[in-house]
Amino acid sequence: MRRLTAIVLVALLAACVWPQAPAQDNGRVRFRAVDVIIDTGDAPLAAYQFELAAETGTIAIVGVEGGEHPAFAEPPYYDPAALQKNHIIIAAFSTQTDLPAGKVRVARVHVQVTGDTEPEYVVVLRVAASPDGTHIPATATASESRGETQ
Amino acid sequence: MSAKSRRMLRTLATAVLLCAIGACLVQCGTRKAAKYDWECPPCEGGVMWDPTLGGQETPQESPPRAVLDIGDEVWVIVRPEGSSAPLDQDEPGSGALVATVPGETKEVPVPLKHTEVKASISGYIATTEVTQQFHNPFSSKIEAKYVFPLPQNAAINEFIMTVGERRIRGIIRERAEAERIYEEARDQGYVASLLTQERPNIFTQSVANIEPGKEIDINIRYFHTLAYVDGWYEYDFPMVVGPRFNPPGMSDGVGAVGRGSRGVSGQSTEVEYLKPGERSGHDIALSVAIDAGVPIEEIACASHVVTTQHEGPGKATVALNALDTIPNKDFVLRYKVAGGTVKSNLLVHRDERGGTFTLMLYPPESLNMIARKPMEMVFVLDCSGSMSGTPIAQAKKAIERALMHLEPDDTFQIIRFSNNASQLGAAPILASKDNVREGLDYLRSLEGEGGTMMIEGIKAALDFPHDERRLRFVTFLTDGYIGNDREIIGEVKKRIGASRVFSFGVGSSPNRYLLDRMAKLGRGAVAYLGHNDSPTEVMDTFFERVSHPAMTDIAIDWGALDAYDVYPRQIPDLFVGRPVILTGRFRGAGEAVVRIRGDIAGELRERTLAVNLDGASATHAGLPVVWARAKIADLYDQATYDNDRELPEQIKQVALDYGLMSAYTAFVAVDSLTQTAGEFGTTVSVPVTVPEGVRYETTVDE
Repeated sequence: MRRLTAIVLVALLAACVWPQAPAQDNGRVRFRAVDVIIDTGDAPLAAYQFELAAETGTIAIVGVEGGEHPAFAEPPYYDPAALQKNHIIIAAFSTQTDLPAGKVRVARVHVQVTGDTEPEYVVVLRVAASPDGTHIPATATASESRGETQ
Repeated sequence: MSAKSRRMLRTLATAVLLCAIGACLVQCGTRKAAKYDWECPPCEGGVMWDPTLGGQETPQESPPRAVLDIGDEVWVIVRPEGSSAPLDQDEPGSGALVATVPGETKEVPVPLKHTEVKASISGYIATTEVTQQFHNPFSSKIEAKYVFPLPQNAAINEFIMTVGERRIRGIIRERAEAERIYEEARDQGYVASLLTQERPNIFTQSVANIEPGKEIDINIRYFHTLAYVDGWYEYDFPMVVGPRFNPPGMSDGVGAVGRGSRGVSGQSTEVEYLKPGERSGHDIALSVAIDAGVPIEEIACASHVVTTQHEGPGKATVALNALDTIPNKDFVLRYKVAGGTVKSNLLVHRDERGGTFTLMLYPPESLNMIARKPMEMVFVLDCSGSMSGTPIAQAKKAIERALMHLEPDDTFQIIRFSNNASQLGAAPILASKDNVREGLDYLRSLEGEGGTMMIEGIKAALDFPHDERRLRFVTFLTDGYIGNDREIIGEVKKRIGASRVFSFGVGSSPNRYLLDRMAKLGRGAVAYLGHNDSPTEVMDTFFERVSHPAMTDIAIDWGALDAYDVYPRQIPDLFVGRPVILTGRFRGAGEAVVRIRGDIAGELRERTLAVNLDGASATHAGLPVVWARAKIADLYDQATYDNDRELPEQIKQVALDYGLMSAYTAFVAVDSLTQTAGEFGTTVSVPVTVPEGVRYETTVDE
């Protein structure tokens, strides 16, 4: 009896300590847009480079769109080699004189989400530069878009 | 903003994305040709190489211009805005057609309204942007599918879908994954698009969930190197896929079916063709901006009516005339630069991936002065149904001309193929006057009908007994309208032996992928004989080429360039008037001298090229993409005769690393903010016209 109790206790302990198997992924597929916003304070933004990835969930990037300001309206370029690592590196620059400052949506990334886990996006701003090419202090955030749907 | 600031910004933002961004900054050209120097080792009777090769090309007459004559049909297309037609209506009215032939033509609504092509040429690299304007002329939602051609060496690295004012850059993915993403988006009602490659020169564009009256544009950008032939640079843009013949038992070919007969060919790819008397509203506009870097002597377009604006000695813009906008034949533009300005040159580029170069190697002038040895000439004529009419007439005239060029010491043979192959005789025939006359009689008896069992022609020609005292040239004259291209290319490689294959693409829209690769793996060269080309001139040029020995056994000492991964891996022979382009990676720095050695009629020749690998001249940002495309082409060729299972994986990896289309990658774009209601609707193919000069009745399955 004591031996049986010990086995049960060990089994219970193991069940608690052993890493939980990931939640069953039911393969549900949906599409979302992720807005990337850079906040430059008062400084005009002339160039940027950021890296976007999902910390949780399973995503695939399915399109890259430009931002809201005319200076960054064209769809930015991405690094195809980095894309294979399930994240994306995006960069753009503008030589226009009318440049955005403050909070501006610089890009919209379209993603396919698979499974029940909602993705949490992480954006790392690698470069933000002013028209003279100098680094400017800025922050970047990513969140699901609230753009209009037909 | 100061120029200095702009430069700093560019440097900053492009540092991580040179492979993508830099491709649009191509500044290659003869302007920046490396210094070069020719040397000939001392030899008895040796001929010094002249470095200025551009000046001695045989003077060319410009190809005849296509013009409208009295009696030609003129189509005026009027497309009212906003009209729509029910899907089930056989005679929908997305546009009204007013024609000079009343009552004979039926307007067919198609989901592709217009194609806009804008190309720019810098040196010998062309950048082409193609915009396909899809719309929905029907009363319910559709998915559009369009099978279309692009140049077989196009390095496609940009794909953008435009929905209203919004532009979404497509993503390169492994093909199966891209297809899966597209289908899931389509089935959920999202606007999405997918670009897949069926052959190196045939692509399928799918656009999902186009609502009635809505428009979606697709922009594709690609790079490629220009052909340089006999003193002329050539820019080609194919507009229609010719109807292919697929051998019995094949299912991954390219089927040719009539409009509305989707699925009857049983092939994985199908092109739907408009029936006789039908016309779609799809038209095309095209312009090419040439920046030759050196004075342009002459511009000619034999395929289309064009307007040309000269913007300086080395610059011009050529545009398709508004009267010639039906996309039913290849656009072929040729231009000749000032004599003496075209030289061998080596272009380099360096970025975070390392160094990349292209070497355009021109044949030595001395090739023109050495006479040929006796030849064994085997003509192989495609007598299938697609060749009937003008194409076979042109091809027969060309062979006729070639027979006249033969000398009494030469031998010849004529082989025909359609459903099977047969020939004039069982062995090479001496080119006596009587025998040539007999050959001409046989040639005149040949007609175009039946299928294109090209494999029979290949076997008959390459397995034919070889006369070892003569140089053997196997000359194929065909439109190349077959679905088993890769089988044929593999057979050429396997059976080539001592032969050299020269392929002639016949007709208004030949299969340039097949013809180019046959010639390449057959160690020969390719030429094209369009409807408006002179068979006599084309064949005279060919004989000028084969009437002199080629420079063979070419070996290159890259010196301090420290080159690797060079393509093509086997350096082709150099023929009169035909330079070759090599592209590779390099590790070297500073000044480098490249030595090129080769054999001409048993004598060694050597040439040197000096290049500076640093500084301002090392900024040809399009070169990495050109190199990656060349590597993919080389591996894809290898896969036709080598069963190495790693090859597809290697191709896919290069394509993904450089963001390029290939057989194993695809572009997909999804607009996740545009979800339409209901299922994805009816799939509607874009029917196309059969190429000019090709008969619908003999080539298309109903």
